[in-house]
Amino acid sequence: MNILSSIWKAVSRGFHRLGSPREFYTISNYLTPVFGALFLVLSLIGSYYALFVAPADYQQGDSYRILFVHVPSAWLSLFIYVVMASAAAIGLVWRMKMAFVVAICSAPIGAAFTSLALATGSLWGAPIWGTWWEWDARLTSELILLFLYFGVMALYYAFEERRTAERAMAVLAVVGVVIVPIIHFSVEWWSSLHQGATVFREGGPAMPPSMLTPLIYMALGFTFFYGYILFLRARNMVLSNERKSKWVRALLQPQTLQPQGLPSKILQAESGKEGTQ
Amino acid sequence: MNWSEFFYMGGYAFYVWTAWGITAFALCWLFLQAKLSNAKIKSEIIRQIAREAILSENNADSN
Amino acid sequence: MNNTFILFCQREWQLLFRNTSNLVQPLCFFVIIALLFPFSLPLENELLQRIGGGIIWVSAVLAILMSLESMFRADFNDGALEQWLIHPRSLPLAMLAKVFAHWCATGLILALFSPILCLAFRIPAEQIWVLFLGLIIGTPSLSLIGAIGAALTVTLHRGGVLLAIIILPLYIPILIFGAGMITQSYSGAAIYSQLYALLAILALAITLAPFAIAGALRTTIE
Repeated sequence: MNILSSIWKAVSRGFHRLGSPREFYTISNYLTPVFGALFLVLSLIGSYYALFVAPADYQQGDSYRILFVHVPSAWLSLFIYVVMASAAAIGLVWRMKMAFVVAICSAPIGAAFTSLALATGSLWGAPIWGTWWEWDARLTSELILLFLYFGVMALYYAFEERRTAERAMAVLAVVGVVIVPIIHFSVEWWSSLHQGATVFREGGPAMPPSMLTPLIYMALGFTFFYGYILFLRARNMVLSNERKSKWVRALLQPQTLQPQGLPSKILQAESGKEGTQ
Repeated sequence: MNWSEFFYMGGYAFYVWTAWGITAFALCWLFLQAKLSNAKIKSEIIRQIAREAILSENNADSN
Repeated sequence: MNNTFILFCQREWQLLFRNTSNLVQPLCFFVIIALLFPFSLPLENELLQRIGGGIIWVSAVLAILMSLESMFRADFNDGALEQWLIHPRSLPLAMLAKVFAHWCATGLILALFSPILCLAFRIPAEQIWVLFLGLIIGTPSLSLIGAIGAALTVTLHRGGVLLAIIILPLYIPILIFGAGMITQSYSGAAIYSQLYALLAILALAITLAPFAIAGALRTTIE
């Protein structure tokens, strides 16, 4: 019981530490390169297996190799939406600035992965189904998800005041995530009316390990890529939002001076502007 | 390893390589956009610090 | 009479029914949009019958979307909205009353008028009843979910297009079930699954949307 409570205490302390922008910046100094390295390693291994080692499919030939970028993109698009909505909810409940930062920085990445899933899906469907678009349940749900992402981003950038913007965006993200299962269910029902005889299986529900392994590698690699880009963007946003605070000033102050302490070109340029005014 | 066969991808070369290509492009674009934005924000803040340093110097001089 | 819900309903009804153009505008928009389709599509009677239900549903969705913009606008402009945030009455209940009154002035009227519009599309009598039922059950959900969007965008100057962008994806399930009801009934099958789905969405919307609307208002105002 004591071990559990001490673990819980450590987790909640870490959670609240991450909530402070300054702490997040310090922690992400170490975490960001780790995520980037993990992404590179996992994706390179996964790509090698996907392109060179995995055998060609019996029915679809080599075109099925698109699966190894399509499926991870689709998984990520859903995963990122859930992360975004969770971060939004945490921000609203605990009033954490960092949670809102995570939410708004995730939105463009999620939209990118959703577009990627749609595009690679189209490219896969063109030779296999014979058409670039199909009103399949998953494709339609992905398209609606893309609009949900756009809505969240559009709402955030419509407001002038940042605090209002992030809280409004958070409300929309939470409302969206409640409706996403309903959307998915309704679209599946609707497309089952239209589908008829053709059933599209992505490599079949029982995948041989030679196909499953690279898929898992690519999926994990993409997830770490999401973490990497999220942290990069979150660091940018933290710097931008906290630019008036002391720790940001202290961080960037040394870059305004040259080693000998003489005023750098920046100072000269700025003082030149001052002189002409 | 038969490279020409590999690139041919059993006739699906266009589709497979376009799909993998736009994926790589999208990932690179996300990365570059984050880096460019970083440089832009840092230069903005540095210029702001420099401006304030000059303003405080001028105030100190006039005082 | 001290009941929050009834007080707000009375207030909204007075404001809405004071000017009858408030009631007529959504209806006119609904009818005009629906009638645009026969002009633009080369349709024989058979085809018109089959897609008429869907067209009427889309027109209803768009008409309600148009009317959402002005839902909170007047109250925001004269400061009443801020007063509601401060006073001790339950804001979610007040918002439920406001949406109910809004539905009475838009969705209810559209649903009541829909059988007449069905004549333009030569929809058979069986499907007219199905369409009416679907609209009666679906339009309150549209008003409730739309009010969340209206609350989020009320402080923005040109929030109309943004409202449409954020709300329309959330409308899609209702549209699918409502229009699907008509298609299903046209091919002779029972419509219970879509009916129950619409009722479920309505139940979810009535219970959760007022809190979301209140939360959205508290977020965007001050």
